[in-house]
Amino acid sequence: MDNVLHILVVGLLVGGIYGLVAIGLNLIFGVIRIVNFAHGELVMLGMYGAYLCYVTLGLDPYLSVLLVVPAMFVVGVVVHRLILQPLHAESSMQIFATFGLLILFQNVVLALTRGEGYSVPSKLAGLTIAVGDIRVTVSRLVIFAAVTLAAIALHLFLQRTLIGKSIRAVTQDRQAAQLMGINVERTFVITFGIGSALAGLAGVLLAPIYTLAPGIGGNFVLAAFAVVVLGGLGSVAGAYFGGLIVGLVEAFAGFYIDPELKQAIWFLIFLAVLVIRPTGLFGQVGAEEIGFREQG
Amino acid sequence: MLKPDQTAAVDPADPALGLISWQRVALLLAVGLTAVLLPLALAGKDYFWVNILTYTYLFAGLAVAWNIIAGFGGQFSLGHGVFFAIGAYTTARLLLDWQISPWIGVLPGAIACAVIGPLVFLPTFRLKGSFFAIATLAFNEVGFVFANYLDSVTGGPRGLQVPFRAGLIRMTFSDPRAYALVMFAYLATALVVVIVLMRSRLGYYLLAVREDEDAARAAGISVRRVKIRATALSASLTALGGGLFAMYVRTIDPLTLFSLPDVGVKFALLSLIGGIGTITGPVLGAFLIIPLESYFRATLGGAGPGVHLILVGLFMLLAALFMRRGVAGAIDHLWQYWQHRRRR
Amino acid sequence: MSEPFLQVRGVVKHFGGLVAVNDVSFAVERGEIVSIIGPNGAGKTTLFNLVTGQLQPTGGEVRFNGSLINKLRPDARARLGLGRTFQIAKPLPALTALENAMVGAFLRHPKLRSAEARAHQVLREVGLGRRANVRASQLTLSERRRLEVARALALDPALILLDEVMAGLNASEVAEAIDLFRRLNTGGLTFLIIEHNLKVVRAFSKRVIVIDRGAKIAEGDADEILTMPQVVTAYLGRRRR
Repeated sequence: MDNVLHILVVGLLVGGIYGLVAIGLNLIFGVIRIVNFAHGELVMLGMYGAYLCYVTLGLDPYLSVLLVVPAMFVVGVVVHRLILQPLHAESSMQIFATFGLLILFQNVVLALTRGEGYSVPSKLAGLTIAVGDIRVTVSRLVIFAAVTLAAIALHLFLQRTLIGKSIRAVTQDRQAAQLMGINVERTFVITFGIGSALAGLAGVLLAPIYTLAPGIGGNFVLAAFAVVVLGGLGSVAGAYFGGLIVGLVEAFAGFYIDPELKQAIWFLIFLAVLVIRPTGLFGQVGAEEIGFREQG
Repeated sequence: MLKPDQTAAVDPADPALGLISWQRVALLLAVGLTAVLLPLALAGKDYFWVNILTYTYLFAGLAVAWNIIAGFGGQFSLGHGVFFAIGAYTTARLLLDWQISPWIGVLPGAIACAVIGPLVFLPTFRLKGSFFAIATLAFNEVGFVFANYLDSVTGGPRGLQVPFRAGLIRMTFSDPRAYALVMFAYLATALVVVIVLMRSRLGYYLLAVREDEDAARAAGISVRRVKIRATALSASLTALGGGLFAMYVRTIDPLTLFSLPDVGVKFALLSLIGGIGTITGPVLGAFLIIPLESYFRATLGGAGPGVHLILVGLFMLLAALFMRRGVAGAIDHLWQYWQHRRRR
Repeated sequence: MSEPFLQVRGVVKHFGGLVAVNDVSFAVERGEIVSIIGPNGAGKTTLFNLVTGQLQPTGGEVRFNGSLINKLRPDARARLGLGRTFQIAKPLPALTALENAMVGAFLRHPKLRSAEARAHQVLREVGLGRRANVRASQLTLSERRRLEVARALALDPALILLDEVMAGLNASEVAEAIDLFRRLNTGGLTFLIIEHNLKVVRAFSKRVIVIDRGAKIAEGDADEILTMPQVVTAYLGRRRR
């Protein structure tokens, strides 16, 4: 029984990480329908952003959130405007372009850091708290708290604000939204910005946990896609709960089946979801039907 | 009644090379293949370039194979690395365990993928666009995990090594140019297959399915059957290339075979740059990207880690932005313009 | 009395709570030209979709040439000899007009050259002979509609369903089309058409079926039909006194 509780906690905390990365991707993939290969790199940039703030300003990562997140919003806006927007009608080229971004970001950072691994210490991060019999590090709890707060905040934003509503409208039916007078392009830009900012948030909060390396984005991005699909496109609750589910599945599968096959297992689940219920748990039925042609 | 101008030259972006006679097709193919072979002749004994050409021929063939289901079929797959890997592992294992000559040994992998490909893709076919892409991506990742895990079959993370013992039967040569010729033969095979395909009923049906599934059905086309057959063809050709790859590099491991930037996504990259959905596109893309990449790596590799890839990344971005329909598309654009002026 | 070529018996189609087609029955004999008319939204295209297989009936049967085809998918029905055009033309945009027609022709002409020949033939018949090598995406609306018809004809169907093919054509184009269809009909092709243009209906069809709000409200000779009170009401509404 002890074990189960332990696995549960581990699973939830890992799920929190996945959810945090996925919540931004969910917006981007769910709303704009871009397979953003570079999302992991946006997280990575967030991490290195935290490092930069630490090294130049001496800021604790939990404080540098305030700087990095808006900066990442700007990065997102620029990337979308310059690269993704012109390619709106050519979805396969968009994928190609995000892949180019992936390679570009990764290798710029690699070249600048010359492959040295960095770490970003934080006063709070190393502390542990006892949850029952289990010791949990504060850094992971912070992430769990952050993803929960972010999910709630995003949900409220989408429901209550005008911009949020236009984002939801565009997710459901791009053409209808346009006919209603919504500036679809501007909505996309803002969405991509928010998605990037959330990726940056994830990066900053993850910085105290992982050793920074340019390729670290890859660890998260595929899991994030699985979460987005599992949870349902454009659904904040989906990204949140989807993340937790994936985390739990990974933890339990790792323990009961084989730790080596952890990754394969949630991919298989992801595939099963795609085949059986492509809408995901919380998504809009038919959302997945929109393919390349209609995307243009 | 005007008959279409069959004596006009060929539109490079036309999927079927137009309805010109088979003799003309054969002629064009012969000319094209000679052009492709020319750099090899020119390279002589410069093994640096011979190596680059070997990879170029191989990946051109792989991109052509990928293009069957992705370009002509409209199913943008990022999971072809799985077929590539199956071909590589099967060929290597058959040689290592049973001394089966790779000339034959590449076939079982290809045949297996002709079955596995449709089996694995079929449930995901109804997913459109991006969803299909990431589903196939997931396949690639699952394949990677299993390749690492099933070390009795695949040699696990360390992979398999095929020792160097020169011999025609073992498809192992001391002269690198022989490998280049093998890969060239692979490319030629892939091109012939695609040309025959796109000038057959299945080819037209494939295009119809890509353009509009409902209209295709109303024309009596079984969409599922068409996708199965096209996938079988695409997957088996890819596996064939994988087998040849294994014999060239003689060290295969999951990291190499399932690598997205080097394999799975590369097929897509080459076709997109060259012009997806055309016969010549993937070949043009391969001849542009692979030498360029190698050149960057050779000249800038010393400048620091990742520098040459920065250029590759930049190039990809610029290509995506400015060559939307790929090189073949750009040529087609000029072609249409020229035709238009001619008619005036 | 032999079985009719196409038999629609008690066909019902529900979309959730909406009854789109309500117990419709009719038959089409071999070689006939039958028109379906009715106000917009009456369910005519839905009826077509039930016959050609894009939709499955909630109830009732569709029989073609004696066999029940309810469960057959659209491509199977097309292979049996049911051709159709779509109300909003669905050309295959990246392909030329010729290639579009070839896609249809390949059904009965599996070889490249004979499919090509048949494709040329149908393109000539619909008046697109000179546009054979133009990409479908560059054809005008009226040309696309002809291409639709060409592709359906290329199938060598036994029964063809035309969904408002005359919409937007001018008088001479309409006359050409009627000419073509008459010729094909003499050659043995059976027609079931949806039409709004009542002149065409009168000139062309032998029998008319009127559909309103999913139900068949009248059936008969072209001339009688158009004077029946329920038909007039359906189109024009009840007269206020």
